[in-house]
Amino acid sequence: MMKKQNKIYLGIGIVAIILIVAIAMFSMPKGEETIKIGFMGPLSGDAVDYGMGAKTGYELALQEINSKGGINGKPIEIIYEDSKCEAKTAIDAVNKLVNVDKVNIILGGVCSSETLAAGPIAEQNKVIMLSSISTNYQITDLGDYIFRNVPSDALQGKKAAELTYDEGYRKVAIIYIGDNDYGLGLKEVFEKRFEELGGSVILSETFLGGDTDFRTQLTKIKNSDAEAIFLAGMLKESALILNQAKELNIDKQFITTESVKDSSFFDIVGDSAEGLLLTSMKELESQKAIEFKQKYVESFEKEPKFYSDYAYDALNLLSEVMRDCQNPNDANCIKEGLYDISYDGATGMNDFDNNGDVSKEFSTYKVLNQEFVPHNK
Amino acid sequence: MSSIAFQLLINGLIAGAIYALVASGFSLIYSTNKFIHFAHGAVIAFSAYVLYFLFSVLGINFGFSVVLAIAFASLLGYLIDLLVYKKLRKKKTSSVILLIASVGLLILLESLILLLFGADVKTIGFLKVSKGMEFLGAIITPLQLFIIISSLILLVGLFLFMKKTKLGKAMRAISDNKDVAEIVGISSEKIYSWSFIIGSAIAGIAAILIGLEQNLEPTMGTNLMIKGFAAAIIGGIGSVHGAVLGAFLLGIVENFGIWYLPSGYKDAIAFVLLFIFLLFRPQGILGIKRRAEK
Repeated sequence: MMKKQNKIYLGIGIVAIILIVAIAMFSMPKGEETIKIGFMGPLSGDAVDYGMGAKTGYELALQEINSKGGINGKPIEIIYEDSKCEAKTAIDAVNKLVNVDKVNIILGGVCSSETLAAGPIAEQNKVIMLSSISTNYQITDLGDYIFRNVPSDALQGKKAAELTYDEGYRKVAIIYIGDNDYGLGLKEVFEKRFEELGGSVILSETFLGGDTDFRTQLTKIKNSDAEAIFLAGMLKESALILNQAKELNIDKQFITTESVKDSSFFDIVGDSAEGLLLTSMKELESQKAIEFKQKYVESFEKEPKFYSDYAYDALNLLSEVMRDCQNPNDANCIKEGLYDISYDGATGMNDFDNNGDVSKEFSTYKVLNQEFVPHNK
Repeated sequence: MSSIAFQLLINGLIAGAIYALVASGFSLIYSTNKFIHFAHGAVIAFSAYVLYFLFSVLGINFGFSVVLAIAFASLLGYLIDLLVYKKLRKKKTSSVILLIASVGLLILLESLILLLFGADVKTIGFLKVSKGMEFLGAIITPLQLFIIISSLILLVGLFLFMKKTKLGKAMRAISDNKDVAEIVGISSEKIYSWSFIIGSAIAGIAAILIGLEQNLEPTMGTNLMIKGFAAAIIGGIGSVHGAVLGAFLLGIVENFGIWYLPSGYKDAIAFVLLFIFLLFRPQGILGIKRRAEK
């Protein structure tokens, strides 16, 4: 038997819970209609840095758009779904956004694997998917409703191969992330272009996301004839690879891509990345780029994360297209609008081609004194 | 060629030593408690973050931070036993339920780390990354050498502890036959608590060395646990020094395996080794074959 006193406490507890729920339900904004947009990307797990980079960019744009009255008076609301950089979770996330939340627009995915897996579902349901980070070259062919305002790796992989060749290297080893479409795509494009140019890839080694020990792969590369090493991975693993390469006394030149171009990179590598060459989207000095940086620092009190500017541009250009549609939630109208728009943003000109891709200028950078310095040859 | 072989051996030893640090504490807890304490990985991760917080954020002296981090690990292990497992044991729950509770704790603690420290990679930054020393044609850093030596000391130390000390003997008695041990006056609850305290202190040592070597992420505990668990089984689950041997075997086989096989097969090699042991020598390297229990 429960003591009388306990019963009273239990009763008070139940009444309190009912009251809280009731208050919460009544205090919800009623009547005010919002335009719901979905977001899908990693908010936990190995690739969370990229997800947070995107999320902060969207939040900054969202704040601005809503403070100016939203889309024709209706504020935008973003529903965030965590897809953990995994194909399977991405499919679940998009299914939920499409079927439960009934969104017509999804921002994301972040990892190429997410976008490649979930893109066909969005396409089937005629839901717009606009990614600001996924760079795998196969995303180009996903369909009419799939857009991205970040350039394809078909461009970057080529650029990296050309950089390697121009630097005078003819035999390279590749070390790439093998369970992620970002690494797989870059490796394929790089290898193809590098061999076209007349070089040869003599060794390919893989690792997995979340790995921490790369010594044996690096030992194999060290003892090969490779003159340089092309590294295609995510920031965390790439940083550890450079650390372990230094420990193993590997003096071959490393060449990598934009995935490491964030200030947090140097917290891990310290000075082990000195001399590292990388390709990345060109840093712009334009008015819009500078403005974005200022606003970001004001809002979040730190330097922009990688791709935050791409995310910021994506939501802004989307809001312009939505404003021009009679029903700002009409996927077909937005789709047409996106193909038509030329939007000048923080990342430069956004002009979608027939495949929903944009082309942006790439640049090469070199790490000097723990900074990414433009590297021109 | 032989210099590659030697370097790979060193690589295997480094990997093995890290697995051993995880597996030994885990195995010690298993030996008395007889259930799989997956949250051990999260105890390691949490202690590593405590070290990060004390040393890199608060700027406390490194030696003192290390002592505090190990003490924290012990306390966390003790509290987990006291607040969760002990309550479940009182209800006479099966070891499967305890296993599930431990997975729950692992996820809970990892989420707590995520909440407190955020998701980005943290570095302790006590040692600078520098070129390793040449050693018979292979390269190793002082920290890695220290990790290998520590795990060898653990191997010997735990062996002596279990064989020579009163507490160690009591643990073996409980591990061997709980009921008989209780009849001769050994309190099983006390021994359970002690094995959590000591096993988690080893987790604290692991946290420090692994934290210095690999940097910190909230999910590091799960990743460590996967290989540590495999190592413990290969070594003979419940045999503490067996777990250390299993860890070294696992590390070496893994690293030699990808000498010729593509490097993507690294984990596959580890688990093929595990399967071979499960099929042909389920008691592990040092485990004693028991006659069918009941």
